[in-house]
Amino acid sequence: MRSDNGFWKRFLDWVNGDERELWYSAKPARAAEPKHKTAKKMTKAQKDRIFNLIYRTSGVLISVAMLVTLLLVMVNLPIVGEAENPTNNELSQYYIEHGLEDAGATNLVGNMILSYRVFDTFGESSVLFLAATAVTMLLLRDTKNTSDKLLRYFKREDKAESIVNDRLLRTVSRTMLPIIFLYAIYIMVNGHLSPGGGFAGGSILGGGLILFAQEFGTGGVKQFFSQTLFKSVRTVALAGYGLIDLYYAFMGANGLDNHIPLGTPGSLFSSGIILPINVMVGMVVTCTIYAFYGLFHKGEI
Amino acid sequence: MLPFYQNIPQFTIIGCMLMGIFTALCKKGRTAFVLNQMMLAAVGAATVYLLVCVTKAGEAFDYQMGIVGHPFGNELRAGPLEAGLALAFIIVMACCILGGKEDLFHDMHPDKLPLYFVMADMLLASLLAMIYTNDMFTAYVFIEINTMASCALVMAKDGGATIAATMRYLVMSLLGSGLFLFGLSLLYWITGHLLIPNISEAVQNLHATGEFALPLTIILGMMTVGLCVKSALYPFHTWLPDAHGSATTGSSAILSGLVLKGYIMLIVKLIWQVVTPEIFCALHLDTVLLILGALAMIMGSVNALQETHIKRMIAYSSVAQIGYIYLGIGLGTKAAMVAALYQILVHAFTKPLLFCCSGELANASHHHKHMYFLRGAAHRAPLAGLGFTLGGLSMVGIPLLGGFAVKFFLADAAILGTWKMLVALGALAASSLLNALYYLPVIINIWSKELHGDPDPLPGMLRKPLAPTFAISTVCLAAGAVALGVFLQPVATFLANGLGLM
Repeated sequence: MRSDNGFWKRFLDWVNGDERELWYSAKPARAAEPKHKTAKKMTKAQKDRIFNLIYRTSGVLISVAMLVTLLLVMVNLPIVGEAENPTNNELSQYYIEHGLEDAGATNLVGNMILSYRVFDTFGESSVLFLAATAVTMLLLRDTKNTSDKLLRYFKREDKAESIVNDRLLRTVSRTMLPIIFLYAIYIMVNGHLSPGGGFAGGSILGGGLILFAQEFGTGGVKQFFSQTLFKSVRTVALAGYGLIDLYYAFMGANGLDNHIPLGTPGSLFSSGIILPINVMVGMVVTCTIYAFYGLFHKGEI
Repeated sequence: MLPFYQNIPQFTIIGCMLMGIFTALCKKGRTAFVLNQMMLAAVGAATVYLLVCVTKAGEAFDYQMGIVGHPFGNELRAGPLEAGLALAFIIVMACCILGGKEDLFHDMHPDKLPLYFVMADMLLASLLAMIYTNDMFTAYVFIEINTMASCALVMAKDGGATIAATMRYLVMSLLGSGLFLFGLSLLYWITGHLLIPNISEAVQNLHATGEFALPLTIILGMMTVGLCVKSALYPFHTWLPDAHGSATTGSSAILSGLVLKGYIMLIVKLIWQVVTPEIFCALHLDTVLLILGALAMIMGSVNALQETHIKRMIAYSSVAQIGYIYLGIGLGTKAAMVAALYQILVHAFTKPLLFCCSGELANASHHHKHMYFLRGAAHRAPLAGLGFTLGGLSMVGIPLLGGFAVKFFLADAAILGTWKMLVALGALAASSLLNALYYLPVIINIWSKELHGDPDPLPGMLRKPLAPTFAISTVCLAAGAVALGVFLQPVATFLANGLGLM
């Protein structure tokens, strides 16, 4: 405890009513401490060393303790794959038996996340939207966080990129891009029939866009995917999802017929809300992935 | 067909989210602000209607979302307590945004202002979802939304300090979510359910048969600790002073008034609905919370005493006040839980009041936040001075203000005749004294222009014109703090009834 400016001193001053000595009436002391004091005490390097020692030792100890605890828990958990596990209950039974007639998708996982638990998945999609928005808030170029120097640097970089003729990248991306885009769309719209869906398809489509941007520059992407289009696609997709979710849950909760045809199971246009939601989720994921690339790359979409 | 009011929880949650999504299209901050306030008014009105209906009906209801009912889909549950807390949160949210508006428009780049309101809308949606949810996984999804939005709110004010604070907040916050998710997946593995009533049934069976005793203890411990990290209980509070102290005024108010409370509501749900208080106490988790809560009450105040930066001081005071809530939870009785819920309400009104007023006082002192420059600030911004005085006195526990009611109910509930009584009463007494030690000098400081011959630190500084938004917010928050102190018995009865129906 420091004697001249410590907690007890302040406490005593307060009790004695000696307000003049209180910290708030004195100017904030920014000046360096007197030299004779630092000479007596340890230097900063020594302090840091001791701190690091304690910090690292306690870090290792806590990790080891956590590891042992978790291993103990694992030993005591039900063994994976046993028939009498608590997770093999009427819940999973029901999803397997009635999933197709209730929600209409042959991909049972799709039934679960986009029909029975559609509200949770809407939350997950909003997380992606929020993540992209948060990054926009931080990195989108504005007058505050961009200097002329940085802009000149970007210009030079663009010029350098346009001169370099990367044949390998050019050939491969020109061959691969149509296939990647088609494959992504296939995964998205076929999500109710086979493994895949909006999240997987959207990340592939976003990856494809990043490859496109590598090859033709962000300017090339802007020709067909401007910031306005980006914003409207994202908003329409997410809001559409929200409205479908609202309608679906409202009708379900009130015991009303929702008039959404389920179609023939196994055909492309079937499974009610799952197909449109997969496409919408796919759009949101694509926008998010590409926004991350654009914003981290040059602070623009 | 259900009675219409039962749809309101879902409508308010999704309405907030849709508004957030559409706000991202706004070009001007002012439009986004107006939209946000309109949405808050609509959601608030709907929640008032819900509150009236549930109170009249006198029971809670389950809202089963989707084509098939219980236990196969997502579910919401609302009763008087949930509706009341939701209404309080909506009012406080509106007040925080109104009170912090001037600072926000000063601190943020105009092009990015609408994004702030996106975050605020989403944050409110996640808080409402955490209050209403009857499904543990939905709770986790909205914890994620909450984390993301609250980090963005801290980051809104550009600058090195806020970015560093956001990083620290993000890391600690994700540690908390990670622990919660880990605990939740293991809990699913041993119970086979995600809906709260079903988990509760399974947990009671497990506890009765003694099966999976060790995993159950550790799982509940992990989930509790995860939520404690996110709500800044004492040894996990290190991120809080930076995040709350450096953010823009509105964000500090929202973060300390609301975000911490959302996670605490989940802990209350976990104890009251998922595992039942008997099992929670049998596993001795309540003792841990009690001791940490008592430590927080004292250490938070001790740290606050050493601060000379007003917002950091108030942030440390939050650590102490969160300790009160955990003390109530840790005592383990129904009366103590009611006191904890009462503290949630009181702190939700008082802390934003303090943050908004200190922001205004700083504005009236060339944006200085050091105590020295704030001397006499109350004369330059009288309403802010009055608000700060009221909030500070409430924290100290002066009768007729909210803080007194909390201390009264906590002390009343602490009389159990066990060692817990000693800890709780000792911590209460020490903490009240410490609160007085740092709030009273600040109040004296802002009201005195000259002190023992020291001249006014900012001579010639004129009275700041009163912004109408700030005036509305301060008056509302102060009215809330006073109402909670005056009508203590009706509010406590309401909370106790609501807790019984939860």
